[in-house]
Amino acid sequence: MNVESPRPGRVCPHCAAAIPADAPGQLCARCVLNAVATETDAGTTSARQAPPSLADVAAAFPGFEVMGLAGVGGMGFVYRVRSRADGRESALKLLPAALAAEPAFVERFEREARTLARLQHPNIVAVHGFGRAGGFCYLLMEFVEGANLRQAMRSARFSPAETLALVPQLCDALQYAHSQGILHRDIKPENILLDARGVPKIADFGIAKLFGGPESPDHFTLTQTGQRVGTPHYMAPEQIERPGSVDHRADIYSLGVVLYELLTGELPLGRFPAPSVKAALDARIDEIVFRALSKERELRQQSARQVRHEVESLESSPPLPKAASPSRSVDCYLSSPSHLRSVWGSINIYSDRGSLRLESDRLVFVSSDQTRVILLSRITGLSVGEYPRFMKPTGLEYIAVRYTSEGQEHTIYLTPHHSRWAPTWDTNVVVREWEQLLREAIAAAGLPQVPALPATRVAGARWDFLQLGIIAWVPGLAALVMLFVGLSNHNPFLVVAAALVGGFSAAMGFAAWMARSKKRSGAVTSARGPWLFLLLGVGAPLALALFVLATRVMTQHSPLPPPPVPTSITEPGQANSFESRTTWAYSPPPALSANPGRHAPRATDAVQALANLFPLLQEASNRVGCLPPSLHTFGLAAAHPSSHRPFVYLGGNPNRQSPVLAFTQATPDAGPQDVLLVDGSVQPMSSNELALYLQTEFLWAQNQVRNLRADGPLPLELEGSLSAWATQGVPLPPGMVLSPAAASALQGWGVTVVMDVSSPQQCRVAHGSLAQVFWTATDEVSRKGKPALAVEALQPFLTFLAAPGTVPVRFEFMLGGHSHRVSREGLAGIAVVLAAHAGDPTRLQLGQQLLDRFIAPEVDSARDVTLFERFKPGEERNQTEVVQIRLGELRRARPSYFLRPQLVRKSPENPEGGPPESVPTPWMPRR
Amino acid sequence: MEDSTPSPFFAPTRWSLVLRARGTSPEARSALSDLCGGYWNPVFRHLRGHGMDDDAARELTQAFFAHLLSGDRIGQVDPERGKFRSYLLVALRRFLKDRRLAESRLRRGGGAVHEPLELGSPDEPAFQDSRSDTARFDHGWALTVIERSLNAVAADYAGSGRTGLFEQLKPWLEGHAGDAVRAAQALGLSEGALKVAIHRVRRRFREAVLHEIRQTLPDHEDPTIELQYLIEVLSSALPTRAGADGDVGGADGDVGGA
Repeated sequence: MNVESPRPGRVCPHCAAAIPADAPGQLCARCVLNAVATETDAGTTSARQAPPSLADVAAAFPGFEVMGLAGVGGMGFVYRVRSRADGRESALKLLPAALAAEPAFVERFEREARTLARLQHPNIVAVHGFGRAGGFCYLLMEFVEGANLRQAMRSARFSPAETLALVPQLCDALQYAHSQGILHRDIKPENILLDARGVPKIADFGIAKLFGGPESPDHFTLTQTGQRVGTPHYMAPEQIERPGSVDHRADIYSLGVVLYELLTGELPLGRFPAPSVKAALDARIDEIVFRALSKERELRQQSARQVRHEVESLESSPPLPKAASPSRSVDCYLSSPSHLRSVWGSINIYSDRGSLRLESDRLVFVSSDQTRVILLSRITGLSVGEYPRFMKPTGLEYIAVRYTSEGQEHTIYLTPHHSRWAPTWDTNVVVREWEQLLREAIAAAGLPQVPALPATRVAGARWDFLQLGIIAWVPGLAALVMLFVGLSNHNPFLVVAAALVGGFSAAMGFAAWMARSKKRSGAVTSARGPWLFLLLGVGAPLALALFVLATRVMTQHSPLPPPPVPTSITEPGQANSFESRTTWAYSPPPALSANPGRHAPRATDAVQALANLFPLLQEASNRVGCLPPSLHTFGLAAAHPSSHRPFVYLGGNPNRQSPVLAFTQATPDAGPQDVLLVDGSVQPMSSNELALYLQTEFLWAQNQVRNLRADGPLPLELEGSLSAWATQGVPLPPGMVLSPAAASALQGWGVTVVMDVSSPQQCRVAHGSLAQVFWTATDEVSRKGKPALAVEALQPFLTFLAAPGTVPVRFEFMLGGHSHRVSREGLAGIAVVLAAHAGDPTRLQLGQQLLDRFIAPEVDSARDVTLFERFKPGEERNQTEVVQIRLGELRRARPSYFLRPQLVRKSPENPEGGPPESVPTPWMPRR
Repeated sequence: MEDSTPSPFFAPTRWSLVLRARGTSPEARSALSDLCGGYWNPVFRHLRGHGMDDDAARELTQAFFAHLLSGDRIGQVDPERGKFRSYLLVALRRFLKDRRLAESRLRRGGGAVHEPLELGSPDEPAFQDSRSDTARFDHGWALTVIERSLNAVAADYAGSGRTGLFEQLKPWLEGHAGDAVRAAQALGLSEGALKVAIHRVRRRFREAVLHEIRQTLPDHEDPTIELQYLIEVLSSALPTRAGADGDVGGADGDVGGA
């Protein structure tokens, strides 16, 4: 005997543990004790109340020897007793003592018990006697030495044959009792006993009625042990809903539940599967059980005898040979006409999804929560139909199956398919194939041919055209609108959305067209179908969206559009490139440009006033650092008053929603003329209208200047000009005549301005543009080492500066938290530095020419030229950074020279500035 | 069905008889000797598990029970809480400790009382209290409970001349066992009758186990709690010899059992 090293013995079939050879009884000790712990007494519910003690019972029934408590139920306690007179063993059922005190109950008890005592049947537990004793109502019953069905089920699973063998006996007993007018009302495994030979006996007939009968007072419905009478899982629906109208068919329902449980080991809860799905059974059993379990009692077997007969007919006739044709199985959607008519059905056309199995005698649909068994012999109609186009625009088909079950006619729609993602036309092939299979199976079973169902198209199907429109065309139109709006507003998201919606629409339309053409030609499946579908539906919108995003990103990376570049500076009076460049900006109508016309005083006056205002605005903006947003939109105006030649008006006021004018030719005619607006439209406008418009702008600008003055004192010179202008109206200060070259320069610059004005969100003025140039320059030079773009961006300023008569402007702008101040000499110097760096001889020459014009040649080359000053706003006096370079270096600069400006820090303590530092990117604050 | 109120139909358990009389009455002596007879095996297995050979273990077991039944040792047990199982283990430990001290005294020249400096010595098996030691004892105990219950049920069936039936039904005591249809054919029963028979043998066995357990408990203690404990003991892995030997130096003291 050695405990420590068990010799190899048996292996426990339950816990797979090795069982030592010396284990008691050669059993797995753990499983044995576990079984003991899980085996409950008598298999009945445990009472909350203590049972009457054996002594009390013995005292109340002196004629019996009480042998022990045999069971506890919801309706009392059962004792095993032996008669002292004849030694016969009986079961003594004691009803709760408290009820015996109710006279009404006692009376009813005696009446019922008398009836029960009449029941004499081999499969019914006999009642030998009843009465009251020792304060108890009791029933003396046949003692069945055995187990109830619940306990027997725990002992070992019931085989189908064994279950079916029980049915006739149970049905006999029920039929007998029903014929006596007695219902059981609480058929359940606990109430069906098996004696030692395995013969079933039904116990507790009619006891439930004592407690839950229609005429009983409410308080009888709860037993004294605190439990509900009846067992809901085994009760027929009407027994729960209308207990008063219960008839014998409720017992048949309960019997059905017991059968189901015996066959499958489970209760038929919810949408339960067929027994033959759970166990290897003859499929015909399903129908018997399902019928007994019908919710409507009219659909059940109408008597216990009928149940018996049906079960016995199973045994007498051999089951249909299943191997006659191998069953086929496929994934399948389920729907029905009523489902399609429901609200949910208009959202999801399928009511369920599962698998469809075709066997020689039946069609089975199994899903996770239901099983439908359709015997082929019950099919009364079969055809192929089409789901509403509204839901399935590509025309998905189904097999409509009409069949009778439980005396009712049902129609279901089945859509077998090979894949959930298969295109419609592929699935439709499967549908047709299965319909054919079904018909063949019916013919093979020797059944008559099933007629086709009348063509039932679901409501709305005839509106295919409209529905297709809603699905495919409406999104398409919406996509077009979105595309248009998105493009005109420069909104990339709208464009992307339009692409996606449009792609969807195109895909739907394409799929519909494909399906239709396939159907017409009768062609079978195409492997390319799904790919085209994918490509159109997903690929195309994605590609379009990517394209839009890419172009968006690219335009964002070029800060300025390339301005027109004059090849050289043109002197006043010389022919300029203006006319030639009108092609990209504006082509004046030949009639207008060819006809200088007469003087149009009002328009000219207005233009002259605006031209007059321009330098003042420049000065004012220099003073405040940057033009206020409401003012900058006014822009620039210039004219050529001597010749009544084209005047330029660039600007407008987005705040006031006024159209933004580009320029036109000041034709003195009173008739309408074309005025180009920057939004690209050309509008007819009479001279008077134009004058009125310009005057309005003028007055508005004047007002702005007044506001400017109200903010604080203006420099003396500016103040004087403003006063003169404000009082006298239109005198043009000497030197304020812009040549056509200047006008063209302005225009070159103005394009930038106009563009910014046209999109209020990104409103930029000249100064803003200059800041942008600096930003570009830094980026280009310091990061990429390619200043070409910066030079390009600087070009409009240079051309503007190159115009003779331009007032000495000084730019000031904010960048990187610093205020930058640039004089025109500085701007020219910057142009030289950048152009030399970029190796651009043309621009270098231009810059040097400008420099020569602003700084006389006799000025010493050793002098420093301030390129720009930089300071924090409000700290100008404390610390200023001055970026400067020797004049001589600028003068000597050649392409590909690398000029090194220097940074000098000036402060009140050090007004001359500290030692110069070399800076790589002088035009920007260090990051 | 277990009743919290005293029931005249339940005879006092043997262990409660022992406890009530503090082991002094002749009734108690007889009950104790019954119990000891029944649980001779776990003690023997326990000693055997500590490396003794069969003969030595048998001799020591006999000596232990003789010692237990001779003296007035039951009086030391708390009558409210003690289980026979716990009592037996504690008594066994004390017996072994006393014996070891006596032996060492003899070895060291006799007479003089020496306080032991260390509890374990390399040449002697260690019988200290330890978790694994208790578990090993209780494991053997659980097996004995099952064995005695099986014997009781087998005796019942033999009494009515149905030994063969019991042998056939015994596998079902573990749970569902194999093909009921074949078993029914073998026994010449209908399937329903077989199920009834299975149910009855299970019920009888359950009664036997609970009865057996109840005999080792004081009155009114729920045997299902002890049953659960025994299931746990059986479910946990049996500690190995090596683990028990290495587990030297645990606190020496009484243990209350479960």
